[in-house]
Amino acid sequence: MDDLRRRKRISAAGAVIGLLVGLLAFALVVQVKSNTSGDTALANARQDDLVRILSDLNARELRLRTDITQSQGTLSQLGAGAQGREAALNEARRRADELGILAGTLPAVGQGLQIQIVRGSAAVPASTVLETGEELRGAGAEAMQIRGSTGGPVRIVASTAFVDGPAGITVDGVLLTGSFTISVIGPGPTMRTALTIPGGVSDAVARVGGTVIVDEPASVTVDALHASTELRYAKPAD
Amino acid sequence: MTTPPRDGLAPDFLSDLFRHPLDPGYADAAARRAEHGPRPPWRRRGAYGLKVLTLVAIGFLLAVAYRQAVKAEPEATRAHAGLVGEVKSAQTATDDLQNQSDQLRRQVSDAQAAALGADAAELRQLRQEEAATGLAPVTGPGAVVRLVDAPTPIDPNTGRQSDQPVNRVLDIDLQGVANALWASGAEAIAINGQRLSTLSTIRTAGSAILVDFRPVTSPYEVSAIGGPNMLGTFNHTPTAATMHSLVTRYGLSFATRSEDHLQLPAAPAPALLYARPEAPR
Amino acid sequence: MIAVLALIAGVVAGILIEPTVPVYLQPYLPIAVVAALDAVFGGVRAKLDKVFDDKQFVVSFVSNVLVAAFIVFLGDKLGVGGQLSTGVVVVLGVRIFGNVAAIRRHLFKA
Repeated sequence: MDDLRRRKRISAAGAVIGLLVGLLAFALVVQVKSNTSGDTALANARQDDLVRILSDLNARELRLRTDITQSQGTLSQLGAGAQGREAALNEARRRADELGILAGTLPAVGQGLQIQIVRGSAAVPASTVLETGEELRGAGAEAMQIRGSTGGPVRIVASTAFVDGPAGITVDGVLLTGSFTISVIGPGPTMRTALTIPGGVSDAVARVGGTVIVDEPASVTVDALHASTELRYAKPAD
Repeated sequence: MTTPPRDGLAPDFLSDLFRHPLDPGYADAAARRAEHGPRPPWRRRGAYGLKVLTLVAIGFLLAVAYRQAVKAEPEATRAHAGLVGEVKSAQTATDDLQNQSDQLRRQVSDAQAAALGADAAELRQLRQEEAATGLAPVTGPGAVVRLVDAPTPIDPNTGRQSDQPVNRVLDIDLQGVANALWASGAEAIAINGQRLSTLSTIRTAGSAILVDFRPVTSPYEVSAIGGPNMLGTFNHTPTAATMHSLVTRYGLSFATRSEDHLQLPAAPAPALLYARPEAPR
Repeated sequence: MIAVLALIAGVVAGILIEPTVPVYLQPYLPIAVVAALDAVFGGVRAKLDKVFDDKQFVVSFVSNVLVAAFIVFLGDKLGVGGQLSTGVVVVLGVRIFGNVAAIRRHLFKA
C-alpha cells in the first residue's frame, strides 16, 4: 500500500517535472527559431525605412498587376481572329527586337549622347567607367557601347564587367587604352545631368587628370554586337 | 567583511556576497538591542517615521520608473510591429504576383515565338537570350556574397540603439561586387531578390540602396549563378580585397558561400523608349 | 501593516502625480529601482529573520541608491559606463536572489 502511494507520488512529481522540462525545451526552440529567422532585418529596421519599403512594395504590386493584365491581353490577342493576330504579331516582333537590343545581338539607333572620357596623365580606372555606366543606366540609358583610342567598340550589356588592365581597362575581355568614347542611347538631357552631379563621374574623372566631353548628336548608333552567350550553369526556371 | 574567517581562510568579497546577501548591519543592530535593550522611544519613533517615508519614496520610485519605461515603448513598438506585419504580407503578395507574372510572360513569349514561326531551336535560343539578359527566371548552382552594415552602437545606459551614424554598405560596394562576379564568370546575378538586367541600376537614395528603383536593405545577399570556379576567382579579385579592407576599417561584414541551388527571378519587363533596331526587321 | 500601506501609498502617488522625469536623470532610474528592490528584499528577509531594524533599512536604501547612481555616473565620465552599470546590476541582483531565497525558505520551508 505504501509502495503504491509512493509510486503514485513519484509519478505525480515526475509528471510535473516532465511538463516543466517540456515547456523549457519548447521555449528554447521557439527562441532559437525566432532569432535565426530572416525576420531580424525587418524587426531592426527603422520606422521610415519600413514605410518606404511598404510604399515601394505597393507600387511594385501595382506594376505587377498591370504586367499580368497586359500579358493576359496579349495571350488572348494571339489566340484571337485575324486583326487581333496582326497586332499580336507586331507586338511579338517588337518584343523580339527589344530582346535583341538588350542582349546586344541587334544594333540599335536613337537619340542619345556621345561621351568622351579624355585621358589625362593617369589612366581612368575601371571603377570610374563602371560608375559612368551605372549613372547612365540610372538616367534611363537603354543601349551602350564603349571604345578606346585602341580597342573596341564593345557592346555593354548586363554581364559586362570592367576590370583594370595594363595601361587601360578590360571590358568583357577586350583591352581598351587611351581615351574612351561611350555611345549611349537614352534621354539626352537626363543622362547629361547625371554625369555632372557633384561628386559623380565628372569629378571622379577630373581627379585622375582627365576630362569629360559630352556631345548630343541628332542620333546615336550602337552597332557593336555582343556574342550570343552560351549559358552553361543557369537554366531557365519553369 | 565583518564575518570571521572560516577554516583559517579569509573570505573574499565574492564568496561573502553569495553567502551573506543580507546587510550585516541588521545582525549588528539586533546584537546591540540584545545587549543594551531597546533604544529610547524618540529615536525609535524617528527611525520608524523615516522608514515609513522611505517606503513611500520606494513606492513612488517604482511607479515613476514603471511609467517611464512603459511610456515611450508600447505605442512605438505596437506601431512598429504592425508595420513589420504589413511589410511581410505585402512581400508575400508581391512574390506570388511575381511568380504569376513570370509564368504569364513565359507563356506570352512562347506564344509569340510560335506565332512568328519559330522552330524548337529558335525557341530554345530565345529562352537562352531571355535568361542571359535577365528577363526570365533562372536556376542553377552558384555562390552568394553577403554584405552587412556595421552594427549600430548600443548606448550603454539605456540599452537601446544610439543615434550615432552607422558605417553602411554603399551602392559602389554592391556595384563593385556585381562587376567582379560578372568578371569571374557569373551568368545571372540578383541582389536581395532583384535581378540585374541590361537596364538595372544600383544607386543610393538617402539612406537606402535602390536596385532598379526598389529599396534593398542590409543584409545584402548578392546571389550569382555560375560555375564551380566562379567563387574562387571572385575571392582573388581586387574588389574582394577591397571588401576585406572595408571589413577591418569600418566593421562591415563580408562573407561568401557556395550554393548548390539558386533560383533568381526575372527582372521587371522592359519598355524601350529611345532605342530601336537599326534596320527594320 | 503600516509598511505595506506606505508602499502602496507611494505607488498610488507615483501613478496619480505623473511626474515627468528630467532627461539627465533618466539613465539612473533603472539602477535606482534595482537598488531600491535590494533594500526592500533585504528588509523583508531581516523581518523574517527577526533582526529587522528601521534605521538600518533607511540607511541601506539611501546608500544603495546613492552609491549605485554615483558608480554609474562615474563610469559614464570615465567611459566605462556600460560595464560599471552591469557590475552594479550583477551585485545587486545576486543580493536580491540570495535574500529572496532566504525568504522562500522561511515561507515554504523548501
